[in-house]
Amino acid sequence: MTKVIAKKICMVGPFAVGKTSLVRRFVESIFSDNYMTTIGVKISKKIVEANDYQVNLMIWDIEGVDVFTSLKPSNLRGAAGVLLVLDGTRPKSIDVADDIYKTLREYLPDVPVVCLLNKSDLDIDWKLESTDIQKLEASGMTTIKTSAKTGENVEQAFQILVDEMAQNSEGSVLL
Amino acid sequence: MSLLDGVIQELGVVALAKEDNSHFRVLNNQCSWFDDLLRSLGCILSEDSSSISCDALCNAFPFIENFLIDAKDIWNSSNQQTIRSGIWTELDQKNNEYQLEARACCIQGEAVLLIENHTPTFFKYQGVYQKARDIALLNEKLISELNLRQRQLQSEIERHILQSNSIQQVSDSIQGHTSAVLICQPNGDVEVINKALVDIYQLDPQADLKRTSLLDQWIAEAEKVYPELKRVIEKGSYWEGEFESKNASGITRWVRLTIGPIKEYDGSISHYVCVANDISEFRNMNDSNSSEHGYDFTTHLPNRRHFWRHINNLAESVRSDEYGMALMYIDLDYFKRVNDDLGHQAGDFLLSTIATRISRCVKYHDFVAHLGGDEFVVVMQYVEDIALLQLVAERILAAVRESLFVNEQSISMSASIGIATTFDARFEPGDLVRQADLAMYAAKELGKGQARFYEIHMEHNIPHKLQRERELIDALEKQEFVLHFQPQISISGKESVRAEALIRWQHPAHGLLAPGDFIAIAEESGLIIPIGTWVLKQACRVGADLIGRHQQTSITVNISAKQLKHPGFYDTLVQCLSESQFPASLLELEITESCFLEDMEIVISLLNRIRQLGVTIALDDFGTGFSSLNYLRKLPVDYLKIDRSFIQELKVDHESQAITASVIKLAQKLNIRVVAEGVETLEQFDFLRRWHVDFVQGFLFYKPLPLNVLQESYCTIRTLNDENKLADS
Repeated sequence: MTKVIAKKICMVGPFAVGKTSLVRRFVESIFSDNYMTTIGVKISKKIVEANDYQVNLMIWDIEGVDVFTSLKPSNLRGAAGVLLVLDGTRPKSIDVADDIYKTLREYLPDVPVVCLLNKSDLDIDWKLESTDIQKLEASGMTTIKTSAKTGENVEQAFQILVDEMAQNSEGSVLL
Repeated sequence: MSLLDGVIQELGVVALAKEDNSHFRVLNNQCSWFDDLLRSLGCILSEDSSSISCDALCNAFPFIENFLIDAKDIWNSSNQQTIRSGIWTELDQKNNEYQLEARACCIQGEAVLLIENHTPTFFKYQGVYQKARDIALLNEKLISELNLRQRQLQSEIERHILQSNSIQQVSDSIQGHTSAVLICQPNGDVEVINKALVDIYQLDPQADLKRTSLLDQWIAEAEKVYPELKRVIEKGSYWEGEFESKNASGITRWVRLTIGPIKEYDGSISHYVCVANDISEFRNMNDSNSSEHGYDFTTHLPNRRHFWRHINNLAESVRSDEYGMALMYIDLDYFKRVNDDLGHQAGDFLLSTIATRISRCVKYHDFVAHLGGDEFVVVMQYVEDIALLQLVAERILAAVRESLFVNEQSISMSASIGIATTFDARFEPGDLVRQADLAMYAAKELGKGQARFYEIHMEHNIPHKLQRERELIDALEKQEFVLHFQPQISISGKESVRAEALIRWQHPAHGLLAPGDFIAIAEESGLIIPIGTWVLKQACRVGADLIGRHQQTSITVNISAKQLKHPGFYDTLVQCLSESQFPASLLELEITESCFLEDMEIVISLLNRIRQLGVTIALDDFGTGFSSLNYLRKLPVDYLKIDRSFIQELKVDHESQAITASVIKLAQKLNIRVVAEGVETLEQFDFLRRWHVDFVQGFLFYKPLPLNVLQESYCTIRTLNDENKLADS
């Protein structure tokens, strides 16, 4: 019989990079072009499979970081994985990512972090260069280009994180 | 329901007291939303609804499960702290969203968990953040665009130097550019410097700018943050960066600088091309360190973020409702026009002067902020009598109206003020600002230059601007625009009849409106393109019709910068001429100096193509913008219109006489004909005739005439032309 376990993952990143849109695409398969800023936290749930486990993902969509709002470490507590979302059309989001990643490593030193380079559908406006991506990967993150709009790589990104979570806890009873 | 029950229900707060490690006691039951949400999430209260197990609460709300870890620290500590969870969103089974916040505190020694329902007010709260983030996004895009353009300009200049091998040619092409450019030799000797650099660094234009090398200064300033700079450029590599730089007045500004070396065939460096932009505004908006202080760079007043922090603090602080609070929203009238005409730096000076004046009109404990652009706010506490606010507003209006000198010109500004007040100890900052903003719109609608208090009916009126935009769209469809024509009288007497086409709006409710009532809105909304096209078409039609009536008239049409730069403008012009069969030689386009502010070379090339059609070009409002007699020779214009402000000062002001006379003389040397507008007196006319101005236009002869009156006056205009010729000879 398939075992069922619950896992918390966090969506973090600068403001307006598409965290909520990615969650909506992943959980509800819908997308809206209207930008509605997230305030606080919104929790969504979705079941995925990994290593014969049925994983009840509890996805914490956390308000984006800007000059008014910093990442609250208490919201990260207990997370088994993190999706750090950036906007590939906004180089500024890379600078902010650096600080966020430091916070993640301080409070969640061992959990896997997958970096989503979102808005890949806007290829004309795409500003991230391969050197930026190399830098992100050098810090220990897996990167993947996604588009909440077209759905490109969204399922895969979540699956990569769940797989890394599984690998990370190999041998432990949890996953 | 008792009054207290009603109050608690209104507050939407559920209080839970921690009984033991496994249960919470429910202290109040007035909030049905809590029961509904719990039930929807499959969580059940005890039979008598008086308690809930910890597990059930945590299952229903994983967010609270996480918060309880922090809450326990507070409950176990001896100090009387309260902690908040921050807002989180829950969904019930019907997908209704609830925005909740938990608070943990100790009351009378008991551990208490409060769950507040913010849903009813959440969207207003979110709206404030939404706006702030929209602005931040826009700002980011602007910076990105600026960086891109700066790099493009840098490479263009480098390419230009390498291809033409002439620094002088490059110098001509970058003089009008809005980015500051300096081209120097490796030892710092300046070869080229443009006006924008002189402006940003407030250099003395009289000084020998060849000796004013900024390269060493830049290197010294930038090396504090970019220690590698000197090495990079000496090796012949490109460099870019942002740093603080002092101008000649000692004021520090943020500068974004790119330096590109030009190399000879043997690899040695012959020149450095430096392009700089003043990015102080962007840095001030983005820099989280400066946001701690939050002051606007131009006016030294608290900025928008600082204002929001201040007003939110006021809203949260305990205040007696004995005194009221007032918010004045101040918007300068026609600032954009002044800024466009006089330039960015003059605009900054004007804002800073007005900021000082506003600050002097209020008491020391009142709060004045510069929200950006031409918007200011005043927050006044301890308001006892609303009538006093009217006095303060009038004081501010009078202070703004006082004339000030910019670029040696006397300017008088005006402002519109909206006032909102509250006597509630607790108030919603967003509401107060919105009310003041609505009142300000209403003041603008009344004709600007005045103050209005917020009134409830303003809520139901669509803000004036939006309404005007919609009305303008309707006006186009319903053909409510008409053209009037103001004749230009020839002093030389050689000409056929000339008239300027001027748009009027036959508004169904407000009667005949002058352009001042709607053109600015049309410009901002982009409606100037279809409206401008209508004017052009209609003017050509009328012109062709007049020829059919043997009343041949040259017609001049005003073209806005936006319209001229629209990609379809040339085709539209050709189409108007061919459809109407109006001869191109009888059509004249009037443009202002602002058309040349950006992309000067592109505009010049477009105007040359237009002139090849036979259409003539007039430069309107000459003397009010960045008028330079030197650059005049570069522009493909046939006519020059001296602005009415000079003409009106002719009698009293010797300086205006001297300027007007020298403009006329220079134009004559350049074979540019001169039109003087705003001629109202015989003295002005005599002066202009003495200096052989070609045409005069103004109320001394004719005000703008409806088409039928123009037709009736045709013979008289011809006679006037002839009379002037006789008088002159």
